[in-house]
Amino acid sequence: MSKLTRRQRRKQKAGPIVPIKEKKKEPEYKSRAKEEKGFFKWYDENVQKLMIIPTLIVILSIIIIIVQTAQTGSFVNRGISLTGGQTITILDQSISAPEIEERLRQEFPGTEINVRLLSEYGEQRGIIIESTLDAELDQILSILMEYNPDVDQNYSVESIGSSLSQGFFKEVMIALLIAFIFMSIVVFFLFKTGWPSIAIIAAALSDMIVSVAVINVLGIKLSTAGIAALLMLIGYSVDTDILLTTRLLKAKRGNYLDRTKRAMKTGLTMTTTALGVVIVGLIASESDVLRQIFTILLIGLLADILFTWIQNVTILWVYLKRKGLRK
Amino acid sequence: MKALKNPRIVILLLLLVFSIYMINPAPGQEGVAIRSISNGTAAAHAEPSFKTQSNLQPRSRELIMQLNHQQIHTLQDYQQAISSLRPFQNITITTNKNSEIYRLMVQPQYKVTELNETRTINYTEEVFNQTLNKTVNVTKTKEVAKIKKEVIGYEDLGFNVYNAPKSNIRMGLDLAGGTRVLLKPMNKTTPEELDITRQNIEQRLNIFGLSDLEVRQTTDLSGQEYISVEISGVNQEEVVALLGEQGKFEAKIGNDTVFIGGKNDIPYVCLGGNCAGLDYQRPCGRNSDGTWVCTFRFSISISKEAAQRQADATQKLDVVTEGAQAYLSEPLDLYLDDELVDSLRIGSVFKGNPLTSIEISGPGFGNTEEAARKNALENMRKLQTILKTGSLPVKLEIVKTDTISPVLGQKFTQNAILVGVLAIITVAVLIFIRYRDWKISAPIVVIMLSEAIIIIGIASMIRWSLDLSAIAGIIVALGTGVDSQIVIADEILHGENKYSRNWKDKLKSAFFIIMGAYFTTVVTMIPLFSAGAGLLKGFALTTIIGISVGVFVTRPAYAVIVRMLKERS
Repeated sequence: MSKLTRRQRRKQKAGPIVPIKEKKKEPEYKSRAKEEKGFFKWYDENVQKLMIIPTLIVILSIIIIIVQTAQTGSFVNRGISLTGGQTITILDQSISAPEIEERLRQEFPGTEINVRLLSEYGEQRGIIIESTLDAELDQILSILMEYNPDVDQNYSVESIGSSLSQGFFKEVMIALLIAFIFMSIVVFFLFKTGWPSIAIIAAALSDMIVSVAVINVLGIKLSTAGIAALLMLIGYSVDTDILLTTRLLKAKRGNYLDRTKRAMKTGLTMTTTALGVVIVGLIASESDVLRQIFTILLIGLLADILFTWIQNVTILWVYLKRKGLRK
Repeated sequence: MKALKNPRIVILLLLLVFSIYMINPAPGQEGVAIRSISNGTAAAHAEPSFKTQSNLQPRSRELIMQLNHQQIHTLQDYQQAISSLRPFQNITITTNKNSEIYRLMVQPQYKVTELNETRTINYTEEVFNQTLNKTVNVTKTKEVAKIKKEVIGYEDLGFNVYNAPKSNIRMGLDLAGGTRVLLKPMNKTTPEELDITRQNIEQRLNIFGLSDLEVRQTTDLSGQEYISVEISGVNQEEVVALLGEQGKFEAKIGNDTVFIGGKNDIPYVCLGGNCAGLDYQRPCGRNSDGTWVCTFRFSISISKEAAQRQADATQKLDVVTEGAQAYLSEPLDLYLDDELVDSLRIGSVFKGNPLTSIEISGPGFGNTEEAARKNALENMRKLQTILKTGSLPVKLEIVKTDTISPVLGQKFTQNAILVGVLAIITVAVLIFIRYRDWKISAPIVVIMLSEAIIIIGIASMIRWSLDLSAIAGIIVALGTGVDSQIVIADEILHGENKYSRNWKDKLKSAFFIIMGAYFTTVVTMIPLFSAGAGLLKGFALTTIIGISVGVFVTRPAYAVIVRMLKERS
């Protein structure tokens, strides 16, 4: 979609190889795009009112997380890898999850047993048995072999002691916190200005809070992989914010709306591409680990659209206005 | 052609070639690779003997190409070939490594039953001769139960094999199948103790016939030390049990400790052949409750000092007679981690004699004779291992185990590859829809593929295993890569300097954005290197490698490629 006209191209071809020094132009923050029509006109006029949406969502998310913490003592539902216990995965298209669950509950009364389906393209691929059992693997396997004699060739077991998993959860939370602090330092270092940097950090923080709340609402049990996904989110979320801030503050030409528009075009392409991959991955992957990563990224990327293109834009526009650089 | 002169393109191409060289793909490779060889099996006694090394690059492993002149293409061929063997059959094996042909004999499997008769056997024993003041071999006779030894089949050859690797890519545990155990010392330990423990564990597993393993020390954020053991390919529950044991072995007579496990007291432990195995003098039998018990035995040599301690201990004992046999009043008790394994009666002739050759025995239990025999042999291997390596300086606790069957791992690998291919196609389609210009979108796909190859190449070079979390890391890296490409593309097409002749100007803000994103991602990954005993280290490392390759190699090359394609038109 090259915008060069034929004439310009010819001119370029004939032109000297030495770069032409551009005339320095005065920033055009103040000029308002009057010719804008349609979406961007509406966006320009209403984005600050739209700020209510991300604000409400964040408040709601915080309430959800507080309620969750009050009820369970932990701000997320922790999977076996973070609480301690055993996860057995079996690939089998026909084995019935409720039947197995019933059977195992009878066999091991008093223990927490949860059997869920592992599916790909909406079809059953296998089952996942989660329990707080520790040493009874042989017994469980022999029960399963009644349903499918090949089970012993086709299973995976993850078992983790509760002391390690408690410690592990604490550790990765600290890691998440340190990662966030490091990220904030880098952002401050990049832009060297208070408000824009805070806006970026706020966007990333909001993104995390909302993602955690949605994870809770969906009843997802966070595993180690989920933590990795949350860390990925910090990266992806900050990407678009850095893009917006750079385009808005460091460009030399175009008014604020033009710059926002350009940033938005690039940023939404980025997010759409990532969303495409995540959705395809979610449909196609049969591993529980990858599925959880993709689910969390899906939630986070969707939330990121709000926080970058409404919340962060609003903060930056207000910042520009205060500085007298806009309107 | 001009493109080939640009240093950025040259660096990218060189790195690509290097990565492919490291990955060393061979899609049509046939044969089965030898992962390890079990002790005391036909394979362990092959002529010439097999050399298995740990930590080989996958493509450097020795491959079995022919068994009895029958071509082995896949694992199925191998399993079929070994299913039609006969006991005592001499077989030949041709591998890709050695021009020589390996010869081995199929070992028979016996069923031994005790008959209601006795017979007299001659046997040789080391006896200390006081007048000569040295040990001499004396032939003696003894009365034993008559046994019937029947060949009921043949023992496994002892090769642990898998389909020949088709590249040097190392699959992590969740993709290749295997066992991972995380051990935590129960008390405070010094770095030296931990290091000895690590070596000791590695040695124990090697004696067990496992060579494809990795034993690592890791630390978490609070400074807690862990030992992580990864064994590829096999589900070995008895190995897990072995890892949890400190393995403090003591042989006592009364209250005197005669010798303990380890090289100092026990210089030689027989691992297989005629001096180790099921004890046919004490054949398997049934207990009153219907369970079976079998006995194993193997011989060891103890050091002179230990032999002297034994002589001193036996000197004090009395001789008791039971029927025709005369024994010493106290038995030799074998303890493993303070639990009695077996009590051996000592013949009266050994009183005060420093014996250097001793036969160790112990039981195995099971609901069937087969199970009891298997259990006895497992216990034997465990005890042999512990005697050979001595006890660990610290007591360890198993805090996490993961077992993935190789079949499941293979399915996950295929699925992960599928997801990867679909992801790349999705990106290509979306980018094409957005720009409708192949000069922008084709290079993005090419760069994405080269990034994937380079990440995998570097992982192969540093012998890093790709597991599911590493694949997640590759996804992040490729995703960040595409994002940066989009920033560059937009800057070139619609950027404020799009009419500028200077490409540096054009891309200045693009590179600022890219570097910003790069540094924020790197710093978010750093804490993961040590958090939680390094369980997410694979993810962090792959991500950092990937995005670094992206920022320093592929991104500049992408800018050059797009620029050249654009300038030409």
